[in-house]
Amino acid sequence: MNRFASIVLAVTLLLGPGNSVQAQSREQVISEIRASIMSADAVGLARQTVSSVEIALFGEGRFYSRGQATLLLKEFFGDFPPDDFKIINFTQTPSAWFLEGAYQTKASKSPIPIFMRLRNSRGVWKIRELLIEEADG
Amino acid sequence: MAETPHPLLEAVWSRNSRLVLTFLVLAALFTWVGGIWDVSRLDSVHSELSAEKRVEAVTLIQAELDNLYADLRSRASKIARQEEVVDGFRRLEENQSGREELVQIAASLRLDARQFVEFYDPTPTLTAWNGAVFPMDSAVQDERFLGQVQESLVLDGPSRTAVIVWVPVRDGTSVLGVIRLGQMVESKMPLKNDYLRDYTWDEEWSRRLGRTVEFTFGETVRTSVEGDYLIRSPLDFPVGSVSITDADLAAWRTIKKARYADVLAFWLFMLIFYVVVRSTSILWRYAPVGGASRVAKGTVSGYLGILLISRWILLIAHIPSRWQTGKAPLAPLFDPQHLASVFGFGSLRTIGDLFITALAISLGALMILRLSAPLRERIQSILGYTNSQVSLRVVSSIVLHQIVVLFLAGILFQIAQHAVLDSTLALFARSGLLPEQLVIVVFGALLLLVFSVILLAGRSLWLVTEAFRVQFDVLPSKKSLLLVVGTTAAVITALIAFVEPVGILLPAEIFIIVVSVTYVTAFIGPIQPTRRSPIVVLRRIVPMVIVTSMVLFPMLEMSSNRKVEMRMQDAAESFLEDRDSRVMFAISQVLGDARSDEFGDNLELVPADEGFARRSQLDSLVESVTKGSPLSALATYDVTITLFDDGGSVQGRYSNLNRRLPRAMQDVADESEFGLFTAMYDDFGNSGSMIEKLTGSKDQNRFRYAGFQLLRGDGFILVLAEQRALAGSAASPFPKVLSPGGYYGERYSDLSVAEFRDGVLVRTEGKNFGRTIMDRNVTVRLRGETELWTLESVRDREYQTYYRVEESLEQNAGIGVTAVRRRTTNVFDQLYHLLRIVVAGLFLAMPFYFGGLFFRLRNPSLQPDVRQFRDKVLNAFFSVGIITVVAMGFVGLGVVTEENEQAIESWLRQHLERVEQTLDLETRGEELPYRVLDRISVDSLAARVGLDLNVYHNLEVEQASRPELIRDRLIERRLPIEAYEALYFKGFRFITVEEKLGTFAYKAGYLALTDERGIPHYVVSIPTLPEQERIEEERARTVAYLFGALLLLVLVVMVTASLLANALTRPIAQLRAGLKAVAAGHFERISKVDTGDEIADLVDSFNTMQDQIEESRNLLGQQERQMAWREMARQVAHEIKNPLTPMKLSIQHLRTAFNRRSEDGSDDDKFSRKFSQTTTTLIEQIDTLARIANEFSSFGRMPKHIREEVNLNDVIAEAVELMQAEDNVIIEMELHPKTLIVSGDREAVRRVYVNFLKNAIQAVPDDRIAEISVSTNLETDVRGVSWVLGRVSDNGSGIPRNLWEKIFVPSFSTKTSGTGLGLAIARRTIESMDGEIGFDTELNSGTTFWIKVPLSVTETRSEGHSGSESDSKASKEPESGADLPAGSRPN
Repeated sequence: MNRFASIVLAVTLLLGPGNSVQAQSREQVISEIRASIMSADAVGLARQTVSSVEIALFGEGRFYSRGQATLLLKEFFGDFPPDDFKIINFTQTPSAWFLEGAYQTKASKSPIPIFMRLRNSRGVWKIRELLIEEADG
Repeated sequence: MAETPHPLLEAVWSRNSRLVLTFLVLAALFTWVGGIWDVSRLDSVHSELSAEKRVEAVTLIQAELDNLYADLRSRASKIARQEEVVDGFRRLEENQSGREELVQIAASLRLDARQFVEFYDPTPTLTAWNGAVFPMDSAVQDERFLGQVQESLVLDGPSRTAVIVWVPVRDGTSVLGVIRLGQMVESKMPLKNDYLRDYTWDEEWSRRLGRTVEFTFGETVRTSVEGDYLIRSPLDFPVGSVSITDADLAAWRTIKKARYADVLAFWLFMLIFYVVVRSTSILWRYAPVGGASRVAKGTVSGYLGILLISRWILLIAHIPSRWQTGKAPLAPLFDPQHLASVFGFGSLRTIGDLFITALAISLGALMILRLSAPLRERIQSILGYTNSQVSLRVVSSIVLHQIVVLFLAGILFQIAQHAVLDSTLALFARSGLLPEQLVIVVFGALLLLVFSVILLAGRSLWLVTEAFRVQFDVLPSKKSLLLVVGTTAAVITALIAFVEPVGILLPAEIFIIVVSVTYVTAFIGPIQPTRRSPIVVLRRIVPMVIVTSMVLFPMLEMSSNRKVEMRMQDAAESFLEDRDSRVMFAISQVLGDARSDEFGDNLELVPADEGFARRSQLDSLVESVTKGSPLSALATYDVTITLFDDGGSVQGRYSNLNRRLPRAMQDVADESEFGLFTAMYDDFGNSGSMIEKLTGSKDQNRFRYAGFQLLRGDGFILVLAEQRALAGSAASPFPKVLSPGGYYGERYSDLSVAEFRDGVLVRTEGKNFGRTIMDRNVTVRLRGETELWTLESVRDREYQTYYRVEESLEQNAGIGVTAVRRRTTNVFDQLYHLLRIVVAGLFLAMPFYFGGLFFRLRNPSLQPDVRQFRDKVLNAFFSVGIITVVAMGFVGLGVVTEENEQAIESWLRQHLERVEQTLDLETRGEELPYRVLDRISVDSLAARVGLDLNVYHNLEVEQASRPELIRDRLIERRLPIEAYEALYFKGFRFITVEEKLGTFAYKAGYLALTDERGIPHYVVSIPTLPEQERIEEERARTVAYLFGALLLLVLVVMVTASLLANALTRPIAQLRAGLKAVAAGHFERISKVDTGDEIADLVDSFNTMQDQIEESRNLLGQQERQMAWREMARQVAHEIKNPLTPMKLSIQHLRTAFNRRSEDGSDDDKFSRKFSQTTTTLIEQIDTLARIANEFSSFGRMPKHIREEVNLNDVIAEAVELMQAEDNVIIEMELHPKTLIVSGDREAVRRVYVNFLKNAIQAVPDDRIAEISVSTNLETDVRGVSWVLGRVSDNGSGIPRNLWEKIFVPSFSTKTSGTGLGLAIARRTIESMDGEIGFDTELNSGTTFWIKVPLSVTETRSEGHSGSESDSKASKEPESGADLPAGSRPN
């Protein structure tokens, strides 16, 4: 294979998957979010947010860039390492999903409520709002 | 042969370094081992330690409580002892007239935050107050009340708690009154936002102690609960209890480990710090000695490697962010909520990390700059060459250099962009002149980076040319060079502009700016310090800061615009599906009110019959919950609130619909929906408040919001808010300060959003969409597009608008377009933004300036030798300009503030007059307006005037249109003391008072409604909350524009000052150069100055003077020459006359003797003797005449010295030998053992020494034994030049003081036989050898004549001196030169 063909192949492999939008199933999206949270994968979770995501960490919500959200979530996972995460409520409208989850940490008895709102933008579901609230008790 | 280690490495790895490094490693080791041991023993001591820590914490809390009470007691006692206070109470006791005095005193008290004070008479009745209003506490019931100081605590509902101190006011032994001073320890807000924050000891102490701390204030002390501790006031008043939660064993372990890890990190930090500081200081000192060529490239790379590795270690170890948690002073710097970027592999992780990274890069850049300084100096001369050929090497080096600039600028732009995009800071908020602290740090870090990049990019030009081995003597001319530079830059700019991926990484404008500044830096080198002008002076720092800021500004501006555009895109997407947070909040407020006991009680009070009265009462009850709610302010929504019984029958309703269905029909419609909401509520869990966003009932493209909840007892409440078909742009008067955070979310804060269907506006939010149809041009341009960005001008205002075509969810729904619009920034906005960056830059530069100033003051040697006139002029212009600008700023700010105050006061006055007019209209007969308030409710009045109102009666709020503000303690229920004083004692009808809601300052207007006696019966107040926000926004904009204009003025002043200084100083510099030339003996005219002013006259005068001087000089020279000839003739005549007299006498004697012999035939022998004697004398005199002629001839003829290398010792020896033989004296010689080669005329030098020796011999009186000595020595001056010092000393009579000046003057001599030319000739000889001549003398002790001539170069090298470039040249000559016999070496 000559060099030109190698470059074409490499570019195709790099760009190809990014250019096509696969239809996402609800289970698939939720499963990916859950997996990111369970493995404290801030980078993975941030990858599933819109470019400017609203995050509220035990207080007032603000809009963060994806990069900023990564570091913010990393800090959250560092302070509250995950033990379990369950989706306890799910509702949907044509263009939005609402998730309510219970985030169980190793240190706390009560789970931390996490609310997420996902937006469908041209076929892709992304987290637009992530609210992390104080655990009861 | 062993390789010598590099001196840098050797210095870094010195003995001291090894000691320090060993210590740090050992300390880290001990910490690590100690940590393991300490953590391992936790199992056994955990419970004991927990108890210990608990007791420590409680002791600390108790101590602080004691201090708080002590402070309050002290302050209250001080007030109680004030003479005016005692006097006021005394007068109050006598005839009531002291109340005004006490009110004045209370109003003037400056209290700490969260403090309040009250003055009571002994009854106790309130007399005066200041600050928050709390209910009475239990202290008044104490039998010792008024007898002694009382300590207490008061709870103001569930939201506020304060500790209280009562101090009696005494007049001797009698008690006149009592002072109550309190301080809040708990203040809970009903909502949180930027202005309203909770303050609780729970949070305060939990943060301080790092564990959960809970206080229970009041009498319900849980003493029985384990882990609770009672806390008491110093006088044993039970304040409450505190509960401290222990961390469990695992948490303890984690905490302990973290602490030891922190200490370990400290040792690591010290290690890194030492290595960096040591290597920096060594390399910095080493650089000027070695220069770029001497410092190996490996060393530079090694140093940069040290910096890089150190930075990464700090990042990996989270240093110093790991030590900055909780309330640590620098904690916000390391909080990712402000700024956090994954760009840069973590080096921009937080603001603090960004700043440290910038510092490290700056350090590296400065080091590179220092090491390559010699290279720059060498290359500076290229600007003088005029070769028109452009070699390939030159072109290649410029292309490569611009690629380097492109790379550096690209990285810089990306960092700046991420600092904006990955930040939640409002970098360009209109918050006044000074940006907030974190913003200053961000700007500072970015400015450091810009500065470093400019320096590196400038210097890299020379490094690249060096790398390409460009020969500097064949460089092209300036024009050719500019052509190459310009063409290369144009090609790269085109590449950036047309190749999109490159353009995204670095916009073309930024490249052009950076590359331009780079070339200015590379050629002009504005930051090169000089002896005459040090770098850390304001006139250099300020322009540098401004230029750096101007480079950074477009990067930040572009990034900010990019961020806004992203927000606009996001707003467009979310507008269709978003929940309106205002509505959600408003519904939650209504449901909250419906849950309250008050509503429940009122509901139960409504009679349970089925009649009209019940329904009417329930309707009123439902309407009451909308009072003061933001729901009533939602002009764009149809709001319906319905009460249902358990069976779903409508019991009561409120609706703001203008056209309503008949009640029966509406009831049926509502009842049909009841099933839907109860089903949803079942899913919701059948408890609490359910708030949902639903599809609109009439139009699926619009939404409605529903709030549903169970009522106390039976029934449900349903709140429905549905968007109206066409939303007007009615702004909500509900103030932002009373809205929770996010209510006015960041998303729409300065944006207006609109939705168009088939080109018709269907709904909007914000103020910027005033037209009900979409612009036809936009419709055309949108065809076939999914989105469109436009710049539009609407009614002279510029907007940027983003249009997005929406995919319709419904068939036949028409084409939907969402538009988002924002006002574009104008030039004053941009100047203001630039100003903020400049201010941050000045903050950053000030430490350097003051540091430089300190060092200059400490080291006078650092002061410039000459203070340039241009600098003085520039300083003067700068000072005047800056003072003017500051003065204008102050005056302008004062005017804006004053205007603002007046606008608010005027607004308040007008609206209070409207209230009064409204009341007037309602009066009956002669009734005064206050009577109307007895009949109508404040809600009704507020609705009529369209404002929020509070009505005070007997100093307390009696009615309020927003009662929840009083209930939640956001507004105090008592009249402010300032209003009380003005309205009740000073007789004003209207007063404005500054008040605070959390941290939000606002004005409230108070109007007294007087009774028939002229005493205020009611006081009506209007808070300016919504209006205040609007006026504050206007003020912020005006101030921003003012500052922007001032920056423009500063720039103009600086440029003008610079131009004026140049214009003023250029002719003066010309004059100076002309004067210097005159001093040097050159009479050249200076260039004409065409300014037509005094300076031009001065230059003309100078040139005229030059001509005159030159003419005079020529005349003078002629006269001097004549004088010299005359003098010479006189001297010759004089000298010749001297021997002529004895000659004449001798001949006369001889003739007389001859005649006498002829006459008397006397003795022939006698005549023979006489003849012999006389002829001898004649011969001597003729010799003298010949000698005189020779010497004059010698002086008159400028000696043509033949320069040769002469061994001075040899010449001296010859002269000594000659003189010893002639005069028969012993001359002592102390000659330097080495051969002393000097450059001069051998014969002339010998004559110098012969002259010296002759003078020395002749100077010794006859009664002394002559002690003449000759010596030579070698010495080296500070510049490393070697000199030969030759001395001839005698023990003669010395030279009198009055003759010192004449010693080397021609024709001067102390001897009758001398011509006085010997020493003058000696001086000429020595000066022709570039040497010096002189003498030291002491009367009657002797004289030493000395000469100082430079040792020849050849000889210097042979002695082993080294270190300069001349050495290396000398080394090419034969080494044996010094040992050659004098005069045998080639010239």
